[in-house]
Amino acid sequence: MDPSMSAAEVRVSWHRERVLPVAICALVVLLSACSGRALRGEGAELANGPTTAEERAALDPWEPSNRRMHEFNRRLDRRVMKPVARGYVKVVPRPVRQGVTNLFDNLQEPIVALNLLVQGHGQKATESGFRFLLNSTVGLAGIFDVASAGKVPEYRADFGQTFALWGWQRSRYLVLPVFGPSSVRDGFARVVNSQVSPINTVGTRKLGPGAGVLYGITSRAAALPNEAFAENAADEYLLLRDVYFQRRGCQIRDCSQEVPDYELPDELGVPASDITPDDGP
Amino acid sequence: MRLPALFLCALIGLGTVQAAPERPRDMVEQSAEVVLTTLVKRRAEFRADAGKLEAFMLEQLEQTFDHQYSARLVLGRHSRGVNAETIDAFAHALLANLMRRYGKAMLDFDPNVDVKVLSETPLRDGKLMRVATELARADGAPVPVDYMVRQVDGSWKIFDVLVEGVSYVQTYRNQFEEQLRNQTLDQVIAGLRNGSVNVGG
Repeated sequence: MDPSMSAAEVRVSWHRERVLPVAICALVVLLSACSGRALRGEGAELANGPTTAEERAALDPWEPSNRRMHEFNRRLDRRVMKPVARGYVKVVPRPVRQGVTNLFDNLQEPIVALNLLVQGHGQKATESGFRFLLNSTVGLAGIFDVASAGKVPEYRADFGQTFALWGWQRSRYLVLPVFGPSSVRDGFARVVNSQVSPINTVGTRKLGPGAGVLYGITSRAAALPNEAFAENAADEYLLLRDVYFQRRGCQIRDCSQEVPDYELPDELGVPASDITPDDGP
Repeated sequence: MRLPALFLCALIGLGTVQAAPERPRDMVEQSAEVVLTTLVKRRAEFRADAGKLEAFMLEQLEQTFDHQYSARLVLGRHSRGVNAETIDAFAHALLANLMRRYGKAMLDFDPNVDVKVLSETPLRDGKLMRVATELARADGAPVPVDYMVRQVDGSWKIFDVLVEGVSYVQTYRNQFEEQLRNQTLDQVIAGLRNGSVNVGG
């Protein structure tokens, strides 16, 4: 920091450089997870391995405060995030929005490659690195996703997954302000990400907090089609928690060969004659 | 794409095979192909007439979706001692409710996806099978979609879909668990029919 600055200037500058971008970034990105951007597989941080409802409840010892944070997020979303995201979709033409999304995706790509690498996926890490090179150059700094057009596969990997692979498997459920469903591990991973991700180091610090705000808006806008997701749920908090654990669990371990947590009819003593499908509707 | 719409899409995708092939993975591959092309070909028609879309979906579901078994799993322990007719009524009320609310979203589904079967794993002594697939998209990372199937009278029937590890059965079971604490099953069925009970997820 420039020593000739007055205290007030220092404060303002510090505010601009650190607090604002981080806060805005957090605000913006997290919405994605709580509002279902999860479905696109982007940006969402989910995790853990509890497989039954009981285990999931046991991993939520802070339920009362988590519920309060959930309510806060809902209100914030209804009053600020959603209207802003809607306006953005209305005003900005689709190709421009796609370019902005591509730009941020590309900025995050080195982090994806890094995590793939330390998770032991050398081949995927190489492909991810190649995507970054290709999109950063031919794709004009990432505005055009030429790598996808050229069939270079896209992967998702984050620090939360990496920490889980390193042994931090079970982590308490934590609803973050703005970002929504998370865990202690994934929240910590988010902090690490914000320190090293080019979205912050390049985007926000060089271009100012506007970049962080824009990132947040694009993330929330991407989740707009999913917003009916939790509507009318008997208990929205439980629904989101449940989906978080199910989804994140399968991002951390390969669950493609598991039987989900069912109460099977034969185990409940239902006679086979009662579970034979009839002739349909 | 909303999760319920993805569940629906995946369920219907499975139902499109005329003669059920021997192997579940073939069923998944062929049916996904059929449903995606149909949605593209008849998009305008479906958009204009929701009834036609619903009819198409029901027709597909009837062929390979195991309503009864799936509904028992959704109800979990609440299905104990409940007769087949009531389970059936619940199954159809739930599907109709989902279709009414999310059917149209299926038309927004990007047809430029490629379904790749990754593995099929026999479970519980071969009584169940899990077919793991991947929906490769033109833009974005692939979405894992897995199908749980079981053999009924010689053909494979689906009873659960998992989108990115999120199970249709588990997600709805947890929701109905809440509702069934305060209501009887008949009340829940009636609510699903008249729209006063809706399911998110």
